[in-house]
Amino acid sequence: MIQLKGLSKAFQTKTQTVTAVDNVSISIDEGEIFGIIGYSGAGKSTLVRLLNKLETATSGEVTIEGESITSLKGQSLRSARQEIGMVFQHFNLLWSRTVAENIAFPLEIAKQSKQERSKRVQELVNLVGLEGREDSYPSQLSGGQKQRVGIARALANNPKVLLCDEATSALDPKTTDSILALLTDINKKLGLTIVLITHEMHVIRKICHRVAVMESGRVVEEGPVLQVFRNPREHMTKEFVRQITEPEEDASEIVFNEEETGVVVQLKFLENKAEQPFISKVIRQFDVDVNIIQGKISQTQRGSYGSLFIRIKGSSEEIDKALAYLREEEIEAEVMERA
Amino acid sequence: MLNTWMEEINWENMWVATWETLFMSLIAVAATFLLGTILGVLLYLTDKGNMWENKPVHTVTAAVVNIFRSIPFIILIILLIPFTTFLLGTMLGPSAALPALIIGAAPFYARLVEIGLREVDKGVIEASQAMGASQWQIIQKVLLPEALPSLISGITVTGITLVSYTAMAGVVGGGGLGNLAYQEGFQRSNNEVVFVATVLILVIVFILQWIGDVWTRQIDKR
Repeated sequence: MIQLKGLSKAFQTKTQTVTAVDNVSISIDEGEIFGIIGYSGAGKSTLVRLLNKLETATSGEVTIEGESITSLKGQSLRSARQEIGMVFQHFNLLWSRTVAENIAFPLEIAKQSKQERSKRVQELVNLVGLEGREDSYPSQLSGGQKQRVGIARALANNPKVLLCDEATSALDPKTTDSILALLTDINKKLGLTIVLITHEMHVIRKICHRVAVMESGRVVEEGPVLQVFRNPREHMTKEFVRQITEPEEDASEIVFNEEETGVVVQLKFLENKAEQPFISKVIRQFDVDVNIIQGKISQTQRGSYGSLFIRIKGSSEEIDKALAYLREEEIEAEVMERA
Repeated sequence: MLNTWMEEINWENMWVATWETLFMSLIAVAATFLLGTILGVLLYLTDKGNMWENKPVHTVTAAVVNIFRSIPFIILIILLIPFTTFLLGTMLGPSAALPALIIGAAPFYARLVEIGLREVDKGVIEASQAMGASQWQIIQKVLLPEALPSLISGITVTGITLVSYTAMAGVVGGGGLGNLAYQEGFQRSNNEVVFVATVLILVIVFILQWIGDVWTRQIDKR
């Protein structure tokens, strides 16, 4: 639905040219939540602004539903923008307007009649769960409520695409989760395509279907969230994935107690394997003892996955058999070296 | 004693002068608000990084504003005599003071408007652009409403300056309380007239300040 082809954006400063976005090509499907992750300065904010031409591309093309955004100008660009909602990190609400008036603002821009506006505003207020706050001013709202207004406003003109520019980065973890739940809900209810940029892997894991990892202007890795989490190829991706998947301590920090026998094994689960009773099966079928050291399981939009450190004790034959069984069940089992 | 003290005052003249001062101030405030806002918006929009970024226009506007803002008002009145006579056929009376009052105050107010507009969150302007707002819609629905408290408190300050300008204009024949205090009071050594005229000007200033404060507080939802 959204195609980026060889998209680049360079900024000219007095002394040098800074390439913020460097030859990016991505294809985003209709109805999916596509995440773009990167550290600040990676060019993701610029990239998302190229999608509605808030920034003009130096080269390359953006098409949304076959319409080339990069070549639009004037009135046709403004009409196209009305079909692309955008949510901001700092909400960017008009403080001089009430909640209802803020949500009505894009409808005024689209020159809708007063009656249509008030009807639509009420629908949106209900959709984002702000009933009773219609006449409050933004300064009277909490961060999460402000972002709900921002989302309602972005959805007012029934856009095809919703762009989220660090929409949860200014919010506390609990509020972040409620906003993410709202976005997932909207995605399911309205079938809306969402492009979301963030520096928090947590956000990607929670709601995205696919993810692109950006580093200094380029997309270094791209794919379904579960696959990227399972098999991060690039160093940058591994760093992000480690933020939430690996247990707090790194594998290397696990205490290898010399007096203990057996081997330490790291198990990596994928898809729904994490929800099946493998450990008890291993204990029942083989003559081994299993001791759980530590582990973590994460939920994503398309299933859960995780990693678990266990110590298997028993004869080396039985241990090998147990490992073979796990591998047969498509669980990655890696024997950790003694430090 | 109070009776004899006030007997020297021609109250009819005093009221006429008060109305003249009010008339000059109100018309000048309204015109200054309009002209200053237009100039201020122009200064803001043509500045670097804004919607109509245009260095020549910005530089010329800024220069004109700075020049007229810097000329002492009493000299500006004299400089504008030919212009006023051409425009109104006379340079006497309250109406004749208006061109000088407006030209003197509008550049000052334009700067206040510019400062107020600069305080409008750039993110809000970006959000409006992302919604497909036209430039005119952004000016009318975002910039001016978001800067309104600054615009109101700015016009209050300018209005008070204008009241004191009317007194100066009075000295060179503009009418109003300044003229009365100077001609009937100072030149005829009638200190009571000077005193009453001063009190009336103070009352006007206080009322103006009060209206401005209340209004600003009411619309400021930040």
